[in-house]
Amino acid sequence: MVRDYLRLSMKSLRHRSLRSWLTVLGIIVGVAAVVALIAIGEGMQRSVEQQFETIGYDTVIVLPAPEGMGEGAATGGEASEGGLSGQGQAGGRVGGMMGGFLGMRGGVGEASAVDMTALEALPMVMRAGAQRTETAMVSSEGLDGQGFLRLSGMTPSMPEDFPGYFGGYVLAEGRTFTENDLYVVVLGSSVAGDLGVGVGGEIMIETTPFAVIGILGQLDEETRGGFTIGNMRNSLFVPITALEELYGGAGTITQALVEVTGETDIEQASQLIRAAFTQAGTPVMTTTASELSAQITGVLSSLNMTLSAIAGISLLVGAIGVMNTMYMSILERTREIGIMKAIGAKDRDVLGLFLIESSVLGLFGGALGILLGVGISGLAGRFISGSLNLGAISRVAGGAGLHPAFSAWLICAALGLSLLLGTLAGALPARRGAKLPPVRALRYE
Amino acid sequence: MIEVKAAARTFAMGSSRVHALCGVDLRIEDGEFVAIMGPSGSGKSTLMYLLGALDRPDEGSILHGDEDVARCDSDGLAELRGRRIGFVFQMFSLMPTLSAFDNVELPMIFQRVPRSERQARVVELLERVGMTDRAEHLPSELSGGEQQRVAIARALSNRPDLLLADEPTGNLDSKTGEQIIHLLESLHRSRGMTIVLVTHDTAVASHADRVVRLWDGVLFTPGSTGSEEGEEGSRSAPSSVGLAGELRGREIGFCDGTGSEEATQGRTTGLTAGRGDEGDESNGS
Repeated sequence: MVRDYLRLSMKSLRHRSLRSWLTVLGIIVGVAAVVALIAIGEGMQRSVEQQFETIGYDTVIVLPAPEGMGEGAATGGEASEGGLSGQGQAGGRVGGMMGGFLGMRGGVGEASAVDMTALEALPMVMRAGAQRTETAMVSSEGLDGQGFLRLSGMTPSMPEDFPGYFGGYVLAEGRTFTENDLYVVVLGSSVAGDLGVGVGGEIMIETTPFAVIGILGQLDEETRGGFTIGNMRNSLFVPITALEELYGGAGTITQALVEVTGETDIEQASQLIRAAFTQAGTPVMTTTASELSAQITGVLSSLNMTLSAIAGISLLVGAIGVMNTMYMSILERTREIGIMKAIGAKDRDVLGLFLIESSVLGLFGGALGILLGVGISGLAGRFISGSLNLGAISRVAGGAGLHPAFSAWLICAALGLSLLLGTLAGALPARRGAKLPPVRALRYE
Repeated sequence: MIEVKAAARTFAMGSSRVHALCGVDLRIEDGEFVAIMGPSGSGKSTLMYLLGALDRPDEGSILHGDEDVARCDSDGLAELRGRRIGFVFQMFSLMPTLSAFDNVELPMIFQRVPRSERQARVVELLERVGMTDRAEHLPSELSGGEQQRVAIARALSNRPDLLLADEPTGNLDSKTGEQIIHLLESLHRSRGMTIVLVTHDTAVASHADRVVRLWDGVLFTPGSTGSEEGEEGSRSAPSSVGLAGELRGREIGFCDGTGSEEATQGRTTGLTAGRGDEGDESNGS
């Protein structure tokens, strides 16, 4: 029965006017927009998760609190002026946290002293490494004039201890520094080219000569963005002690990475570290990879939901278009309805035929929309990871390359939704057509 | 056997009421070929719709065997039409998106006839009307006469008791029209098909066993004493006009039964009641 109806509907659809096919465009565009946005969003989330996967979830990130927090708290306090002081505090904390996080990546955060010895002495800490980022005036003989470059100071064993955070730190030439080195530098591949120096050469950082001891390899798109360091090609790495000599501030760090002992719960360790430092009178902020991951994916998913809702509106408009077409089509075919009824069609037969027709329209629009959405998101993904730089989120996503994710549920949901929309959009017009008295339908010309 | 008993049908036209049929009595025996004649607006389409179970009478009954059209709900009417009645309309009566074959098959789909049986019957019917080699053509690719042949095949597909033809030659040239009439006639003779033909063409009507005439919603049979039509059947057309003329200014048409209702409404004249249903009939031209 349904097969006969489907056959009849398909024959009818084949003869439909161009106009009725054009209204399917509404569904196509709507479905394409929703599919593309969700696929891109899922792709972003997935790449964030992959990033954290490579970093590992067994690390606590320790950020110096006093100055960073003080500044953040001041800003937060201002923002919530007249509000509860507790809110100001909370705002400051989050602000400081984000500032610290972004700072360690972009080199704009406030560095300050953290007692690394005390940190390493804590029982659940297996090993720790510190990093300090400054912007330095750099010059070399091979460079006309001088440039301001990001200078990354770190404890010598950091890249080996926390490989997930230093994915691009692979030496092409020379060596990395050890405890005994001071005025030595490892250059990112681009920086080395710009400065025109090789291993054994010398560059000036501020007014101090540094010996170039290593140059990092060329990085492909997938790994060029180290998670904490940003673009490794443009970075200069020096012992953290050299920064103390250059800029003063003994024990000053931008962030510390802490690996906890195997059996320790990571969130618990994070709290314990915070508590220990607070007790010592030098509070720090801590965060974990999973917290950061949750924060970023949280922002991404709410962004996604908003965009998808907007795209959903266009889908709704598409459905209204189909409804309009179905009404027009029933008006156009009033006499056909009369004839069908004259030759024995019941109301439900007419209803069924029209419903199947609009469902097929919806399904067809959905299928084409999915194809279009796949195309759009593929292009958009390439565009985003290729040229956009919208800060932490897209950098994190872009770091691993953005591949839109088409899960089976997305395809099924999109098909199901367009089928449902088609059916719903056809329901009222079909009911109206089915209820037409045969005599009136037959007299219609 | 089809029996129409005191069937009346009234339409509301704006604020007035139009009596399209006024207590019509008609009996059609099995195997009979009856032509219903009458000018535009005489109510013949209304009568055909009632005979064809497309519409219910306001009063009286239409009996197809033991089934009363007046008592069926819309599904019941559809069932009755599907099983017992085959329609041939004046024009545009084929589904434009379906081939001749599919058009003939369609009524059987609605009656849930199994596919293999449907297809066998379509082949047989198309052969019967001489359209076998045009089976896969769309109606738009067929001539008027060919379309009407397909329509006749379709009307026969569920083996109806009654074939109702509404001006089947109205849109055809006279030669093609004659072929269609001959086809109907041969169905009547060879298969004993009961046929009711609605027309205003005397030449077409002359093929029928019996001609009944409608005038202003009232049935009469010229040339016969019209025993079954009773009193109203014995009226002659001119006198009807005269009567209508006399009734002008009064608020009653011919319909004695509904006249009082009309009078209490007190809005329209008898003449508009008679002529007014032109607006309600589509086969005016």
